[in-house]
Amino acid sequence: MKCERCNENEATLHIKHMQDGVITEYHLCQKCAQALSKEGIIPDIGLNFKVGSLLGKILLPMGPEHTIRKSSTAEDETVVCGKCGLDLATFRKEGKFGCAECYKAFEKYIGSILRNIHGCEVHRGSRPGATSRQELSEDLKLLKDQLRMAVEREEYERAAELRDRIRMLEERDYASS
Amino acid sequence: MQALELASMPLEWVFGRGDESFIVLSSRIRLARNLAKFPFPWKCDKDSLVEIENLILDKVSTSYMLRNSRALKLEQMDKISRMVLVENHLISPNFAQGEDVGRAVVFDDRGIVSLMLNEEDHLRIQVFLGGLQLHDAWHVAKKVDSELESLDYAFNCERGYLSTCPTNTGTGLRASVMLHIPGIVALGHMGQIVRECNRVGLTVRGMYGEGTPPGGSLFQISNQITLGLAEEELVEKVNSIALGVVEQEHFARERLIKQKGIDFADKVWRSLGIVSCARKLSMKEAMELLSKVRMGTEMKILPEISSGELNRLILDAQAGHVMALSGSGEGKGNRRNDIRYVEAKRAEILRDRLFKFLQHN
Repeated sequence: MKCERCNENEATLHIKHMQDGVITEYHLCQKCAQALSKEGIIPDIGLNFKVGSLLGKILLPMGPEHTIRKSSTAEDETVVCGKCGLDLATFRKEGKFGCAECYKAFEKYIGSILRNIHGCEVHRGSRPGATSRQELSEDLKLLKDQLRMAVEREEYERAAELRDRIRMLEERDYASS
Repeated sequence: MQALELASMPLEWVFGRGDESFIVLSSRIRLARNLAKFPFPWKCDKDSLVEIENLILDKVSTSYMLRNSRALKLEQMDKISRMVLVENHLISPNFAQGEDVGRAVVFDDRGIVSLMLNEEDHLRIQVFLGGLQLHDAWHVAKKVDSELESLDYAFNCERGYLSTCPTNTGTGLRASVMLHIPGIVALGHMGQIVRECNRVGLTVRGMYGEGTPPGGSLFQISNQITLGLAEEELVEKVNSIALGVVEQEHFARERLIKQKGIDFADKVWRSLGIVSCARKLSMKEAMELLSKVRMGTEMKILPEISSGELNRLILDAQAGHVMALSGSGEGKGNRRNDIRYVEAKRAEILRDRLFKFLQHN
């Protein structure tokens, strides 16, 4: 049976809709059913729900007064990872980074994304490699730079997390010396 | 042949050797890791996926922790073998269904340590133990991780281990326990458990993880966040909540006995009766019956059946195991793939192992 709306694709969804005692039948393809459900002609039966769509909601940029904007901005399409070519708009839609470099390319936006998901943005767990003193001091230097920048930008929550992390590493450094 | 062999392999968690092994079926630690040099799998071309696969397999061959392991490429596996591996918890349902190129699974001879190559991330390390042994599982995972980390992981000291999905960023660690909590379900307290878990940052899901429905009162509890806490803290959080749920389950069972008395005993005995005599069992019904039998034997209402034997029954009642154990092949028109054939075989497998317990009556 062909879809009764587009008359092209196979009708894969057969919907019986009862309203005020009147039953209406629809035979639709997935695409038309989604379109009709968006227009409110047929009831929302979860056709527009896809895994990742919920995650997408918290990946959207924060608007004024921290209200979530309804969609990505035009600017998002111009923020592109130089290594894998993923742009920020696609990242927000898919909920996936393309490569490790994306974390740098989207640096400006990642803090609030991670905070939305995890409630914080600084890693406190282990790191690869036996924590040699040289690696530790490199980490510390980098984290201190980040802390200084966070304070300059008045990102106090992040600054507090960075400070905790620095303290933790300094204690480890002290213990191993 | 491969499917039968995989369905018969001994799995450490099935033996039920850990703490509270009647209520806590298993403890699992999973680490998400990526190689810095390559794009994440969904952005990789086929050649890169194969290159990553080879790099990891080379590294695995030097690992002490994985010295007794084998590697299977997804492309060499038929549908039933994949189902069996999902049911054994060695691969995820997503992994079994996706593209084959560059995907492989590595697991040791007791199914304790397993690796998935090129799933959502380049490397997923998993440790699976029986009962409540989350901390032990974490120590094993840490060792495996440190043996493989010279693969040059994607890591940055501020964000931690870099993963494809930002929900895994940081530690990349997911700690989960599988709990059998029919008492809590029977008293209608499950909603409360889910809410309380969510409040402390834990997720409750069905038996095979993301998107799977709960069956036979089996639930998975795992940490939601992966960033901002150290690994030990995340593991301890799940561990302590699991202990709390176990305590509540014991409490719920006492109440059930007090409230229902003979009705309760009647119910578990009837369950043993049906599962030992039925000629045809759907998966859902089998799981519900096995759940009652498990509760009944633990509460000493039914004859003693070990948690190891019960775990094996849960596993062997799964569709892939039934098909593998009864020699079903693939292909259209093969009556052995018929749902009624599978249901009959499932009933036969359970009957063979449980009928003897009826005679203790």
